[in-house]
Amino acid sequence: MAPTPYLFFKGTCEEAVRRYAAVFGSPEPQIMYARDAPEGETSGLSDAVMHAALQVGDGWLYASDYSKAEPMAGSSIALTYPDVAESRRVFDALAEGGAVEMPLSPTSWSPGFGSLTDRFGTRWMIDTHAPQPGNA
Amino acid sequence: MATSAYIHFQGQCAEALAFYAEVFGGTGLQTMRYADGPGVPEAWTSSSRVMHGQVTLGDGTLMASDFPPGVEGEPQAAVSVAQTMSDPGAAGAAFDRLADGGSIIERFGPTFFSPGFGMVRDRFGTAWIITTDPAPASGEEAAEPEAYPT
Repeated sequence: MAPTPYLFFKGTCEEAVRRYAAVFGSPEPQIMYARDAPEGETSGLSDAVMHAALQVGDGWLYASDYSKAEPMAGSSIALTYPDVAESRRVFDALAEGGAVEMPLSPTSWSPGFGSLTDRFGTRWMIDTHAPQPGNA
Repeated sequence: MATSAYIHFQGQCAEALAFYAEVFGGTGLQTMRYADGPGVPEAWTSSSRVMHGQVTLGDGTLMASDFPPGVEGEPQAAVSVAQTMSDPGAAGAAFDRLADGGSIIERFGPTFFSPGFGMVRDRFGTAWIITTDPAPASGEEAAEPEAYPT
């Protein structure tokens, strides 16, 4: 199994995960609500998300709501796309209503790299790695 | 393309990644230092901080770096690395290693969704969610075709 990023939101988990599904063209996210957990397993019978799983490309993103969640810090979710046009599309979509840290641009290691914090507080690094000519 | 957690440390990146490689039997550990980067500021050339590092755990990659030299940076918050393992025994052992010198958020044990689940923040500040697949991992009976309803 792959190490998978697990994000915590303060009540906006479902909205965030559904937005990410739209941005990434993912299948319908799997969402389990706190109210659906077996009796005694959660404190609240709310719309809070106990666990959500979203397929992104060949990987997964997990998330839940947590009433004491702090703003995301000290880490990012890294996504690598094969061409700059796709990196640009995803970067711009995530940046809507968020804050760009480093605009998507060429770097010493990539034809297109950028970082941002989206409107839900999730930090992203979008990178580009063109397939090697021999493998294309 | 997979989703990778990219986590940041305040100078302990190389040590942390080596530890994770050991705990999970990771492969392909590599670290590149700020000091070795192209055209780096003079102040970086004596730093041992890691500009980019990665290790393969299971079939995925965990990426990490230190904050740049001179930048204190923030501790990780609101993100965990979820690692699912097939065997509760091995998952429990990994959990115990991570908890050594760290702090347990939720003790490792069976839950309604997993035969072995726990949450821990390790001594480097990384939060982990260690889970075991609900599917039988090694039960010979479960692997028998006749075990399935017809």
